[in-house]
Amino acid sequence: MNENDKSNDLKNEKPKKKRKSPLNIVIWVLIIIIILLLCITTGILAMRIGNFLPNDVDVIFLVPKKPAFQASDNDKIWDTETEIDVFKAEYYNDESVLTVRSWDGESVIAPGTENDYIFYLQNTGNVAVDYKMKIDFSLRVDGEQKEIADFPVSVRIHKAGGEYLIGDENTWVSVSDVAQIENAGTLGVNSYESYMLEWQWLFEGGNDELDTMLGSAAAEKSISLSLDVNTHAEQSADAEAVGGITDNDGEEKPIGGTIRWLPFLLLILLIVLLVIALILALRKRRKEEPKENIKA
Amino acid sequence: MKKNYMMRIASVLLVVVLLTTSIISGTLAKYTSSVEASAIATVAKWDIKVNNSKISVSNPNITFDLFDTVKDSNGTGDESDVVSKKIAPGTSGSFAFKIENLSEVNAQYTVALTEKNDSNVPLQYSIDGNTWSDSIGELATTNITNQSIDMTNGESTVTVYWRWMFEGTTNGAHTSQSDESDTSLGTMDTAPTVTITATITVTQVD
Repeated sequence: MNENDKSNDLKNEKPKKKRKSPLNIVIWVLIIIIILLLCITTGILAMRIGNFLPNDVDVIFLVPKKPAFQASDNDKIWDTETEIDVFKAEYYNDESVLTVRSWDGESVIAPGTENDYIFYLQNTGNVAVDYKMKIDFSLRVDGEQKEIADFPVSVRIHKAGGEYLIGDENTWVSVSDVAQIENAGTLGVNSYESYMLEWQWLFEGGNDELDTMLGSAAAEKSISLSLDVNTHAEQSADAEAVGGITDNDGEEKPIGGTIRWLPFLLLILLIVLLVIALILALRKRRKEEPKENIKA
Repeated sequence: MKKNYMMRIASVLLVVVLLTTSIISGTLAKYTSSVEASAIATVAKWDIKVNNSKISVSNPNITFDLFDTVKDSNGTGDESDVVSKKIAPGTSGSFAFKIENLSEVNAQYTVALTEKNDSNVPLQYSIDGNTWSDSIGELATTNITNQSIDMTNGESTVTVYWRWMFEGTTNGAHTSQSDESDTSLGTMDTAPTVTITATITVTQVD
């Protein structure tokens, strides 16, 4: 048999069907598992990136975090130093008769006056916030802080859910006996907390002498009751933490740092397609290499 | 050495997976917000004056001169037939309380009058100058009980009239008065005295 015959035999020989070796199957399974792992870990990574990304950073597949917190009452939103209308300059009795009126238009208190004041702490952002709220009462005489025992103004404070921070349904506490009131909690997205502060100076409080003494002294010097409310809020470590009362009226906001699923799935699909394309390209190149070797 | 591309791809992917599962750590500034609100109220003034004297817990009493101005019993002119500051048959006079509410709250007042008259000097009293009572305790109290004196009106004046009729037989004179009793009073070794106490109670109105 000459060289040409050998060559013809080689050409006519049917290519043998290549059997996939077990190693190849294992490798393919591993690749699929790894791709799946990649998808999962990419998701985890995205969420972690979402958690650790600075606020307001807008990544296409992540909801940007926009933390915000607001304290307000029924009339206004508080700013850094807001005067709130807990007390009034005029008071009317049940018959709508004016019984107390400040001469200078500033707020006053007197026996027989009372009021309640509702304020709200609201999460206006899209991540959970942790808050602390402090309430302080102080008595001042001509601007100087004083202790006045059994001051006849008493208070109670409770949350919307009925939890009392001071006093209870049947108990009022003199402001002289109220230490600093603190309350802390978490406000989830689309949530708020509401507090009601009630105060009263009973007309028949049982100590007319003290009432009269205070009123008479007030004609000579300024005797005042101050109320300070401090709120501090900071971004919660867990953006999706819950707490407070859900605001069903407001527009429901997506939580900051979470995945925007449509862009994310498109991204994953893109990655998978790229990997498949890469594999196919390498396989094609591998197939071509033996021919080139043969030619060589 | 034969190149195994499948193994290379798998290795690269594995490295990527390992990298992406590494813990991301770092310190990033987080959002904080502080808001303060405050309210202040002053105790409403309780400022009551009677005859321009301030009344307070520590200063509840004022003095007034009941017989500061003595007039003739007809009440028209100053008495010229009796020594000044003395009363006698045929004299009359009045005393007034000006109650001022300079407070920041509404108030009402009640005036209670009592008389210490051990010698039974036949004085008669009136709130309006027309209707007379033989005893100050018998005065009609309608006009001096629970009278409003709110912070817009500010003040109210209560006048109490008194008289010692010249003739005990005059219609409307004190029932126990007679010339004999008047003379008896005037001739006592120790001049009889009459003391009138006015208790003015001003209370806040709710």
